[in-house]
Formats: sequence, C-alpha cells, structure tokens
Amino acid sequence: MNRFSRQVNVVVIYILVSVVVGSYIYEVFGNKNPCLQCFLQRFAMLSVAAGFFLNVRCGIRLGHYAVSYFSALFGGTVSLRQMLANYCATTPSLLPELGIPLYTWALIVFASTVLGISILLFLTRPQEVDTPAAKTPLWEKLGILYLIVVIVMNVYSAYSLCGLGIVCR
Amino acid sequence: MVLGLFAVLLVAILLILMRLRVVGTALLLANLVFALGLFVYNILSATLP
Repeated sequence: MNRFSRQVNVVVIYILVSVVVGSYIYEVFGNKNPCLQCFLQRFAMLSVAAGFFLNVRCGIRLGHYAVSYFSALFGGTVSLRQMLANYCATTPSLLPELGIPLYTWALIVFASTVLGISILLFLTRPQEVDTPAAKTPLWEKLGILYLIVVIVMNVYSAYSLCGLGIVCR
Repeated sequence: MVLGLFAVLLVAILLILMRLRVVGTALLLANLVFALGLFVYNILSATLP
C-alpha cells in the first residue's frame, strides 16, 4: 500500500507543479503581472508539493501530510479571500479560463488537494514505519527536478516584480 | 518579502534533499507561518484606514 501511496504522491507533485507552470505561462504570454495574493497562492501550491516531496524523499509519515494539509488550507483561504474581494468588484475578473477566473480554479485545486490528502491518510497506517526507497526511480527524480526548477522560476519572477519589498508591480 | 518566501522554500527543499529532514520540515512550517503573517498584513493594510 505504501508503494501505491508513494506513486500517488509523485503524481500529485507533477499535477500541482504543472498548475503553477500554467499560471506562469499566463504571466509570460498574457503579459499579466501576478499580484501578492497570486504569489501567495503559487507559494501555497508549491508548499503542498513540498509536503508530498517529503513523503517521496524521506518516507511516508503523517507529519509530512500535515505540511501539505496546512499549505492547502492556507492557499484555499487566500483564494477564497481573493474570490470574495472580486465578487463585489464592478470590474470583470481578469484571466477567466473556461469561464472561471484563475483564483476560483486555485480554490478548486486546493479543495481537491484536501480531499486527496484525506483519502491518502485513510490508506496510511501510523504504526507502519515507512523507510524511503533505496533507489529512486527516474520519474521521481524528474518530478523533484521539475519542482526545484519551478521554484527557481518563481524566485526570479518574485525578484523581478516585487524586488525585496512586499509591493509587487 | 515575497522573494524570501520562495527562496526559503528552495532552501528547505535542498535541505531535505541532503537528508536533513527535521531542519527542512521546520523551515517549511516556519515559512508557512510567515506567509500567513504576510497574508494577514495584506488584509489589514487593505481594510484598516
């Protein structure tokens, strides 16, 4: 069962990082600079992926799921706040995809993540001590590399748009 | 500030890659709490006069 959970963890890393890459593509090709809350949502998504990365790298533990869970709740809160702020706004929402704005998509992703973590927690037995695999498969290594590359891209993006301050251009 | 969030996340990931699990996890959690503080500050600065 742990092997199955481990593979699900890697798949979730790929999915979450791809969502962040999607927003990055919007930023580059749509010439839309992300706001502070958009950065916080990206950060939360990458932190969720980091929790799953901990499971892949160091073995499956409940504490690692707690990191992802906390990150997903935080990201969901930020998305919900942005959704409510735009709900009352007179201007139309920016960047709708399939008729739904990006922050609503982000909320859907975070809610799905919470659901997914709950299912994975059902499969985890706390009395089992899971040891990390002796040899990491190639697709897991690629997933980890994918995560690191996207974090580096976001470091660059945050530096170019916000500098060292809190206000983003 | 925002830069720091992503930079510390990167450092935490690298620490975990070097098998420093406890330090990396602690850094991840501290970073999340910092992000939460940034979010609360963002709300308060938008609502308070």
